[in-house]
Amino acid sequence: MIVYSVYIVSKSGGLIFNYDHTVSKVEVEQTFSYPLEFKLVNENKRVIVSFGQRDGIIVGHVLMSVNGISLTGQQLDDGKDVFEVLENSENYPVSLKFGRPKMTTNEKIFLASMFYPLFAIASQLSPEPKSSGIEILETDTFKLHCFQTLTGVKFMVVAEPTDIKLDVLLNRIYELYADYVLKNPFYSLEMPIRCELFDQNLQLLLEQVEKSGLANI
Amino acid sequence: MASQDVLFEFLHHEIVAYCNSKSKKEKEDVSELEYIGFACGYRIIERLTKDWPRFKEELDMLKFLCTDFWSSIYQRQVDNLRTNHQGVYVLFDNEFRFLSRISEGNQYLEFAPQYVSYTCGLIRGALANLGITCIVTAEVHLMPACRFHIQVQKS
Amino acid sequence: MARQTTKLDTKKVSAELFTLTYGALVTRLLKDYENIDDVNKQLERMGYNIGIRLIEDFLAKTNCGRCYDFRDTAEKIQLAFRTYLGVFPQVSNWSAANDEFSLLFDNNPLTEFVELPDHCLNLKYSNIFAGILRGACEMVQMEVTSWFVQDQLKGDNITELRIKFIKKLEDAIPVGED
Repeated sequence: MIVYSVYIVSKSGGLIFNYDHTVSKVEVEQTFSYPLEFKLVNENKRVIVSFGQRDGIIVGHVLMSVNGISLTGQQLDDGKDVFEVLENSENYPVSLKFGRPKMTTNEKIFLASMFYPLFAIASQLSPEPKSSGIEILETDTFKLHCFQTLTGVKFMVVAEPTDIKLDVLLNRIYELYADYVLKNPFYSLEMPIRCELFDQNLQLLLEQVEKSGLANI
Repeated sequence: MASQDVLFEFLHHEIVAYCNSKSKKEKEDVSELEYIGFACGYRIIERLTKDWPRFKEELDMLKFLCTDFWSSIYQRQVDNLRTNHQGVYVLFDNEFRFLSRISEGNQYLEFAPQYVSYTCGLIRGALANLGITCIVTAEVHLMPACRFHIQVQKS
Repeated sequence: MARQTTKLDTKKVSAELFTLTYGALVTRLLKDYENIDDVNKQLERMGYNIGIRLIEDFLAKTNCGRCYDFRDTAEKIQLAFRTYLGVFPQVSNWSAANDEFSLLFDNNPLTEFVELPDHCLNLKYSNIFAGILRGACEMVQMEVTSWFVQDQLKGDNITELRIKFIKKLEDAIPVGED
C-alpha cells in the first residue's frame, strides 16, 4: 500500500508538519523542432503548458529545463528569457523537459489552512451532534484519511485508494508525535515540527507499512 | 516509552529549564543541576544497596554502577566501561536515556551538556555515599551516545 | 565470584528516583525564593508545562474518548495516576452538583521520605499535581482547579486532593465536537 504524504495541522489550524513519502516522478524530456505545438504561459511564476498536449506532455505540466539548463520563473539559468529562446527558430531543435509541478511549502500551508474550515463545515453539516469531522476524503487517485485528537491536533495521511481503514496508522503517528515531538524539550506547542528523530521514525513506520501492511505496526 | 518513565522525563526537562532560567551568568550554569543529581544519587544508592553484599573493591562498585544501577534507572546497561586501573574510569552509553528523545546526530548538540549534568551529579553522589570521592564529567559528540568520565580523588 | 541475583525492581527504583528528584527540586526552590507562595506558584507552573504534554501521551496510549461528564473525567484521572505513578487513589466525596470530587491517596508518592520543617507550613509540597491536572484538562478544553484538603505531610491520616470543574473552554473546542 502506497502512502503519499503525511500532514499535521495544529489546533489553531496552521500546518506544523508535512512529509512526502512517495513522490510520483513524472518527467518527460523530448526534442522538438520549430514551431512548438503547445502553448506555454507564465502562471504563478512557472512556465506551464496551457494547451496543445501531446506525447505524454499534458496541460498543467511545468517546463523544467531547456537543453539541460533549468529555469526560474521564465528566466533560464544562463540569463536568457525562455519565451524569447523558444520564439527564435535558430535555437531549434531544442530539448525540453516537462514534469508535474511539485507543491511548494507555501502552497501546502495554504491548502492546510483551507482544510481546517472545510473540516469545520463538514462537522456542522452533520445531522447528529458530536460528529467526528471528516474521516476520509476520497477521489479517484487518492484517499485522504484524517484523525482529530481530543486536543484538536489533526493528523492526515494521503494514500492510494484502498478500502483498508488506516486508523491504526494514524494512531501510531499520534504515538510518535507524543514520543518524539512532545518529549523533545526544545519543541514549543503549535510551532512547526523540526525534530529529526520524529522524521526518521515516521519514515521507518511508513516503510514498514509499505512492506508488510498494517498488521504489525 | 514506558509509562512510568514518562513523568520523570518531563520532570527532568522542567528542572533543566528552571536551572537555565535561574542562571545569572550568560552561559548556562549546570552546577545547580549537578547538585540536584548529587543529592539524589547520594540517597538512592543507599536504598539500592540495602540488601547487597559489601563491595570488595572500587572496580566492583563501578561494575555495579554500570549494570544494576544503570539498568534500573536508565533501562539499559552501560555499553562499555574502561579504566586505567589508576582511578580513571570511562562509561560509554550509546543510547543515553535523556538524549535519546532529543535527537540522533547533531541536532541540538550544543544543549547536550544540560541534559547530562543531572546524571553526572547522580553518579558522583552515588559513589560518594559508597566512599569514593570523585569528579564526574561527560562528553557528547554524537547524540544519543554519551561518555561519562569519572576521576577518583585519592585523599 | 558469584553475583547476587537479587534483581532491583525497576518500577520501584524509577518511582523512588522521581520522589528524590522532586524533593531535591523543592529544596532548591525553597533556597531560591524567599516567599513560600512563590515556590508554590513555580511548582504549579512546572506542573502545567508537564500536563500539556503528558495529556497527548495519555490519549495516544489509552485511546480514550472525550469525557462528557465529570465522573468520566474522575475515572480517567484515576487511570492516569495508576499509569504514570503506579498509585491507586480512590475517588470519593462527590459534591451535590457532581462538579467536585476528591482523590484519596493512602500514600502520596511524592512525599514518601519527606518531613516538612516548621517554617514551611505554607508550602504546598505536591503542588505540581495541581499544575499537571490544570494543564492536561485545559488541553481537552476543561478548566479545573485543584487543592489539597488533607495532607499526610501536615499530620493528616491520608492525603486528599480535591478537584473542581470550573467550566468548559468553549472557544477552544475542536470543530465538530460542540
